Amino acid sequence: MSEQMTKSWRRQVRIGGEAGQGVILAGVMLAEVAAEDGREVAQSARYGAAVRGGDATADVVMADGPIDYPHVEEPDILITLSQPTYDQYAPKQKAGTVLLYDPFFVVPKKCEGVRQLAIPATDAAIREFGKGTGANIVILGALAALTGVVTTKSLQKVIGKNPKRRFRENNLGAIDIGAHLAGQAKEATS
Amino acid sequence: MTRAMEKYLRGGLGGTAFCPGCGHGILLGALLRAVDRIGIHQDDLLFVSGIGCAAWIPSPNIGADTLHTLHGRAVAFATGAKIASPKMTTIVVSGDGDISSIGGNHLIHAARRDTDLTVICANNQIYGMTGGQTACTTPVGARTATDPAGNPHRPFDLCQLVIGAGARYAARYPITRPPMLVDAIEKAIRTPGFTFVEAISPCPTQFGRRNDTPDVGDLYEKVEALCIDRENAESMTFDERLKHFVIGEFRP
Amino acid sequence: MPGLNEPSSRRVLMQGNIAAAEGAIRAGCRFFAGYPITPSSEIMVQMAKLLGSNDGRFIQMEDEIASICAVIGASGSGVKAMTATSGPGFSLMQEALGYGYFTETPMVLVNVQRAGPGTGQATHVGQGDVMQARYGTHGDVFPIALCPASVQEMYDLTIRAFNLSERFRVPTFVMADEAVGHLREPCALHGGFEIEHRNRHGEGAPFGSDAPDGVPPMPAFGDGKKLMVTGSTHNPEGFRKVDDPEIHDALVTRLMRKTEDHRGEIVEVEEFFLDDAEVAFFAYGISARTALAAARRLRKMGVRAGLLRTKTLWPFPEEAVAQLGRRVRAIVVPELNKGMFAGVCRAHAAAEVHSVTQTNGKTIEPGRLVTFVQEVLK
Repeated sequence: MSEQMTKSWRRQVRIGGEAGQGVILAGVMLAEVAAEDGREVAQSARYGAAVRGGDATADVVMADGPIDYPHVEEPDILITLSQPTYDQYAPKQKAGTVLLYDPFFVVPKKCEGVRQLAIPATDAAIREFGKGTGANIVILGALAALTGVVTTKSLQKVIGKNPKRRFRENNLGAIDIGAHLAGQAKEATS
Repeated sequence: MTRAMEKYLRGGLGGTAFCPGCGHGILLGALLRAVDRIGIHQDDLLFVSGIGCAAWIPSPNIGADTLHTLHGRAVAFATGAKIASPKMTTIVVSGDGDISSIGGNHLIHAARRDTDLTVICANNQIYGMTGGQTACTTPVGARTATDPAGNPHRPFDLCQLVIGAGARYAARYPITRPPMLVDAIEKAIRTPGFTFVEAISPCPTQFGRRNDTPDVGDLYEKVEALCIDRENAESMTFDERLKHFVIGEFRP
Repeated sequence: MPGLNEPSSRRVLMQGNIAAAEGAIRAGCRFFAGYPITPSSEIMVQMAKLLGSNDGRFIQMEDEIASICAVIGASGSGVKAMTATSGPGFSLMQEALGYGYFTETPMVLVNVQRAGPGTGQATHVGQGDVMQARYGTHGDVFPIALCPASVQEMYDLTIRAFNLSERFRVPTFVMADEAVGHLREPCALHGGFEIEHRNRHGEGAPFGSDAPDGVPPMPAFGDGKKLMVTGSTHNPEGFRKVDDPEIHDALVTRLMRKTEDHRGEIVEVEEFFLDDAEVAFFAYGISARTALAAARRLRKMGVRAGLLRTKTLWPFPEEAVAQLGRRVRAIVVPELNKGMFAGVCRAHAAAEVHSVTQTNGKTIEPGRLVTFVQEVLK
């Protein structure tokens, strides 16, 4: 902990979904990407005792300087991959924040002042990889392209560090798909 | 004990704390003879014991490293010591209640893991130090402080227990037959992996007095009369065997 | 020893539990015995990996009791040893922790606290074991307990715990919590520490010292000293003396003095904005980070708030808290239990002490402390 009083850039990102959807992994990866961007970062998770199933939430705080309280208080960006986590978190989003959801799992409701964007990541992952497991990376690709909270370049770099070739190839592809879906989502809401 | 074994004893001790007629002194002698036969240097010996009369067999009597631990946990302490320092010949000496009741889980897991330990259980069939309460080794019907009308429960067959859990070698002999005990302890120490020796060491003070054998000589004779070689016990029913001391060597 | 500029001092994103394991290896730990329990299991898994590649010994025991006993046995063999656990396992270990204390066995235990009591909430945070660290085992004991607030401190304080444990022959606890244990932050696995080793070959009896606060030498099994180690009352040579009143009193007193007389060497606190503070937080672990964020926000609002953060739970930072009590009007103690340390704080601080407690398996948010302080100052 440091005594600096200045606090400038700081973003809080929350990813919610069902345990087993890769939510925690997406959170860890997002934190790595933010660190790669040169940010201070704190990543935490909340989940139940069951290894599969149940709600899982991954939180990432990123900032220019030291992070005192490491948990998310009010997300600047909320990503939800499940209806229960959407229902839990979306109504609490403050005006001016961004909410990305996967329409495969989530039916959105009205949230005053929140910019809601549908990112059909699971559909795209099934189409591209034959199963939905890449959806978490697709949505990170969309997050980077849409919000700039992390850079796509660092996201690619972090994915590229993985020793497994198949993982790298699939997930670099997933980032591109995410960026493409982000473009479509932007057009749909503009 | 003969003078020849004095070299293994710690200096400055007036004698043991055991009751007159207790078998633990004989077991101590048998243990030292086995160690002497193998020729292990005292500096390479670690004795670990728990709590109870039998835990005082090595501590402080033996002039080697002695680790006198908690009730029931001697095998767990010994496991850590042995793994951290494999050069040490590590021997656990403790009583039946200590090793197999409160410490029963550690005993079977050490056998399963095949940790290179020799565990010597002085079985006096009762809790001696605390005043003669029923043990998990008390015979059916024997009177104790907590079962004055006779113990209704069956005792453990400790050798079968550890063999079932994976011990490389187990043996059971009474302290009335010291040469067999010495042989068994020697074999156990020489056998790599987890080995077990159960010494039937009757307790005149707590067991004998309550069970019509207050005289030490009578108690030892009763133990002898109940001993049956394992080959001869094979035709017995399980319940019959539990009334005897099935003696001999057991291997997986 | 590698210095701060070595490549490994580069900060890498890492989970707190992993950093604790890395710290243990850096401190020279070469033995781990443990039993799986959430939320500490990552330490065990990482130690299995790291000890395998560092000529160490790892064993998964049958339960927590066996784990701590194996750790004591290994430490007696001259090897730096540790275990890691959480509430229920910490409870199971208490008898052996008293044994380790009374036999003056160096060892480190990392407790990644979860929300208790009972099995409680295994995956959620709590700070409810802080009194158990001090009073959990029977009899008069004076153990050392440290409390990390960040991933970096999971590394740093685990090393420090080994150093203190080796220096004083006292079981030492790293009282982490689920929030810090599972947090991922950048952490430098640096080598900027002197590493302490027990006095293995020194002169003198292994369980006594002429100095009233003295730490005796600790030979290992196999060193040819014919050691007598016992958890019963013993004289300096190790002979059981279970009926001697003077020996018992002298032993209990000397063991107390080892930690109590070395508070200056053991206790570490950190101050934030206390120079002109009228209200101060006194906090530890993850709650100290809440308090620091709240103090900064209050400052921005014109409130003269500060923070005294302790890295040492036991021995309690009595002098620092007493001094704080003379400096500020009110002390606010936020913690994830029903006010355990607020009570201790009251015993040492002259100022009014307010307790902010939270026992819902979540960390306290800074906003709650900001509002609380505003109310206090009204």
